[in-house]
Amino acid sequence: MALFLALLLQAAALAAAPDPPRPLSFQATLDAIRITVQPGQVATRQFRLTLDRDQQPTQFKARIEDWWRSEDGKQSFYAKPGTLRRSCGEWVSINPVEATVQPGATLTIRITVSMPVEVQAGGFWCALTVDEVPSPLEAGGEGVGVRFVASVSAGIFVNVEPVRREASILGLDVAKDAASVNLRNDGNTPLAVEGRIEFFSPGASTPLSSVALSRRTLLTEPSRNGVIGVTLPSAEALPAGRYRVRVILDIGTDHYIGAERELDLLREGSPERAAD
Amino acid sequence: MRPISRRPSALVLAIASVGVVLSAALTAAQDLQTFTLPKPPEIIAQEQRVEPMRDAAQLPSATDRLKFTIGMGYVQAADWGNEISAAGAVKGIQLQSAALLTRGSSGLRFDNGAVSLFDPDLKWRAELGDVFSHLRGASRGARFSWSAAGNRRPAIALYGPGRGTVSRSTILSYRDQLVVREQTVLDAEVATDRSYLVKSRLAVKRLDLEAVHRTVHTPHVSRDLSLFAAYTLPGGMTVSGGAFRSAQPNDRNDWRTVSLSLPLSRHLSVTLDRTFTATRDTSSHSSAAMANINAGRFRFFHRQQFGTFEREDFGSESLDRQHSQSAAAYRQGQRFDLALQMATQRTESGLVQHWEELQATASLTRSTTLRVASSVPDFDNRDRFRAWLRQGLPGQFALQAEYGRLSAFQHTSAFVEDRPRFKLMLYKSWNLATPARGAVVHGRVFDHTGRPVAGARVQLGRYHVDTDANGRYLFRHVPRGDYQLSLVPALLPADYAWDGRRVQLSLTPFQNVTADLLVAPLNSLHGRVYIDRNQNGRYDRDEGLARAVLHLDDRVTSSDDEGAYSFFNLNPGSYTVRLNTGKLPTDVEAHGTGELTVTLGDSEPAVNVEFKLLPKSKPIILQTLEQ
Amino acid sequence: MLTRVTGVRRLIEAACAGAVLCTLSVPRPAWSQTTVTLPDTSLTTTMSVNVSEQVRVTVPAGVTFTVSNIGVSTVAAAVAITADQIVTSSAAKQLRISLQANAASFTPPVAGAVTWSASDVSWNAATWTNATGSAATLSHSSSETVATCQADTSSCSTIGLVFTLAPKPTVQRSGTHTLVVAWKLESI
Repeated sequence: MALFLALLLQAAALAAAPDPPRPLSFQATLDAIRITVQPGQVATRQFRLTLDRDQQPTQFKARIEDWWRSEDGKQSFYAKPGTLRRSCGEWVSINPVEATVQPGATLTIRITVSMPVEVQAGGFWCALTVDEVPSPLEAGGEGVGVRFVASVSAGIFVNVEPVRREASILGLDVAKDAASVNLRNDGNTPLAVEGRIEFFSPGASTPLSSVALSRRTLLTEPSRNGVIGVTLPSAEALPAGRYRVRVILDIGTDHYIGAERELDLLREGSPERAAD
Repeated sequence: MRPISRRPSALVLAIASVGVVLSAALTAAQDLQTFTLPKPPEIIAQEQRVEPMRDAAQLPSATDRLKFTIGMGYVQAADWGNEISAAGAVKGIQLQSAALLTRGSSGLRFDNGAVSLFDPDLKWRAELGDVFSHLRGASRGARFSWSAAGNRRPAIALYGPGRGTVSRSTILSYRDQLVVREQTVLDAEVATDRSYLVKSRLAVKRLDLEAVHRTVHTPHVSRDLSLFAAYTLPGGMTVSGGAFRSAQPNDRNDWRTVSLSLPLSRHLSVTLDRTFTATRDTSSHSSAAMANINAGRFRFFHRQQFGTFEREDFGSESLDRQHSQSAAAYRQGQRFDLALQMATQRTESGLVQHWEELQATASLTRSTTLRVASSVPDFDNRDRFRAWLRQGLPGQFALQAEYGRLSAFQHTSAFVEDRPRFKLMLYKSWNLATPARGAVVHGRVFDHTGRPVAGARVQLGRYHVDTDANGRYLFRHVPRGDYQLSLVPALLPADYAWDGRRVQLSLTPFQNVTADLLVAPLNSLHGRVYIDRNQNGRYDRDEGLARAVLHLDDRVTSSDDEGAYSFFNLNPGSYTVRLNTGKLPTDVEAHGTGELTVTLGDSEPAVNVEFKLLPKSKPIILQTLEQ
Repeated sequence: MLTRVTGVRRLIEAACAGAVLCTLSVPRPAWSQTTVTLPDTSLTTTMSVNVSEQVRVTVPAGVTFTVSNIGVSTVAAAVAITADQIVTSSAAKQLRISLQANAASFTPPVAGAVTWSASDVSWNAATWTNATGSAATLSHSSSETVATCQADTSSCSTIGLVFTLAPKPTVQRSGTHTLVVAWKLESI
């Protein structure tokens, strides 16, 4: 009888204990929010996040942040709204800021940009970040551990006309297995940059190889410069040798910008040789 | 004076070296050749495809449409003709008109045509030109009808001699109709020549009854009386019968019929009828059976009629008469239609009349339609050949060519035979934008304090518009109908909440409606949880308690590293914030009940909602040591 | 002259319904009394569907370092991360997965006790399916790339991401040391 009671009490304790953390699975929109507005205008958009049906109710908290990237694009930085001069963070309100999402349900966050009456022309940006919030009632782990939470950030880009999109290609370099393009944003708004690098054998009119550049956002501050890097194809596809290397970039205007130069491409295992 | 040294100084050498380095750098950078390339137009067009339904308002059209067509043509061995037609609406009034003007030996003549104006909202109609009435028949004149109280539709008309009719005097008539549940229960018309007509119809459930009496005084006195009844039995079978009697000065007409319509299947229906007709000098009996087959693309019709015909001067003899008629058709979608029709009439005297026609209609292209009819199998018979071709041309032109007998294009002179002719018409159409009619709906979106809400999307049926900086919205030219006025919650500015109350509107075109929508301003509540270590009754730096758990209704949050917490997006009202004392560290305890009641106003967040904690002190129990 | 009786017309109309031609002659009114609005074929309606950029992610709840010797590095068991149902607006757009610590250091079991810093946590350049992994060290001030999914892929994943906790001989308190780390998915 005593054993039975003890087991019963233990089962009750287990049942009453808070749940330990579980992997999180959800679907979120990734659309960057791009708005062209006039001074004084109010515009509202949405961000959606759907929790998978097999999940526990999960709390999410949203906030607006300033955002930028390192020049090589490998690091992202987030700061409180208003840190950057071209921040839109102080003009953005969101609803809900914090919410508990039931399994299978969708969290829809309204994002409202209220433009001041007096504002400069050009592009402004910030980011909406939605973080999973560990439930304050959740059981803590034991030992040394990292509690993972999910966080999704979507860019908010606000343009006030006239918007000027301009960029300069400052450099084009190739190493053994990678190529990079150095460029500068000369306009007054962030640029979405896509493109490709082409390798032409001497005298050829069609490229021997063409490598697509992943899309990058080039801001106007804190730095206007950016470096887009890409891994080259294998040495079989693009052997070492002298090439006319051309980069063509789409910066969102009605024309492409490009640059080309002659380079000696060294591949892994090729003897070192002074480049051009 | 010291002479100027001719040897370059160290400074000059340094500057020169820098210059060389710079030049080399410039040279190295200069071999990067930059250029621009134009983007293909199709890619620019693709990129410029703006996302629909974002910021663009969707408003009712401010214009109506009126299609106006003029045709000019030539008829072989006859004269020129002009066709003028229009269809559409102007300020909500529906306009239909068609007219044929011809120029012949008689000069310019208005051959036929009419203009009709109808206001679907005020329910009046005006007609001018060729007008038909049950009392008068086809006439030329004018008529105006309107909707009156008591479900009545009165009309005043002026009728003159119609085209192709016996010359009659011009008369004025008044007509009134009593309409109940879309049925014309009673229809009466009286004219200045003492002609009058009374008609009544009743269609309820399976029964359809109609009675008509007409007395006409010009060109001569005649009286008509007709009765008709039809009853639909279960299964779709219909029994109907009718009787007609007409009396004129030198003649009379009697007609009686009974019929039975049997839908045998989804594709086949059969009708049987027995008819008796008589005039002053003749009488006839006939029986007929008709069959209709409708099977997808195929349709088939056959009527077989037989009976006797008696005439006074035949004496006691009568003529047997048989009449058969068949038609078959094949249709391939909207593009091709083929129909064959045959009819045969035989009399006992051996007289047989037989005729048939094959007609094919084909849409050769989207703008080309051809229709050809011919006798069968005698395709060479030019008298029986008809062709009609319409070709759409750019610029809303169309060319139409016809060959064959004309039904009535021109009053031809007596000695001009009715024979196949060639007719060519060129049409030009214009689609005109005309002013539209509609209701005006306007109002404001504002919160409890009267502050306007800018950028809120207001929805009215399928239309939407965003409020301006003053919270105002406006819809013009809203068509008649029932609408729901509401906000779009997903596009309501984030600082507001809406209770979902919609406004139902039933709009007519002349209305000017004001409807406001109310929202609640949202605000936030901020506070802190701190351990008052120095017991000064207020928060000092480093006294904040991180990860304290707080509840507000069904929401839960935790404090940050400095003990601060917030609840957002709250409607104005009274709230109780509860500190979860079970989650506090064991060395502190709440000062008070651990609950705070806060009133959140309309315009400002609630701040300094603070929970003070006190360190727990454990009592010291002294023990006496044993000696 | 008018037709003999309206009923006859109706009878014949009923019989002729569905037939192509019905030549039993019945005079018809010159103008219809009913107004019919014809569709304006010059207008067309374009239907369009807007598909949002989206992704479905599954992230692990956490990792535990079984620290038996604070003087040596501790390796946690490998974790799995999946991003699928990826829809991007451009074939050149790549999904970037990164990590950022919510605090500069772990929360020790006792306030003020020495504990590990966020930068004491690092990870390997794991083998990813449809992505390129990057080794890096955790930071509180910036998000560090864990993987960049290939352009135009609909999914990327790994089952072999291994976290390493650096040695910290100055740690003195046993118990729970916890750090909250956010998996960042960026579409910027």
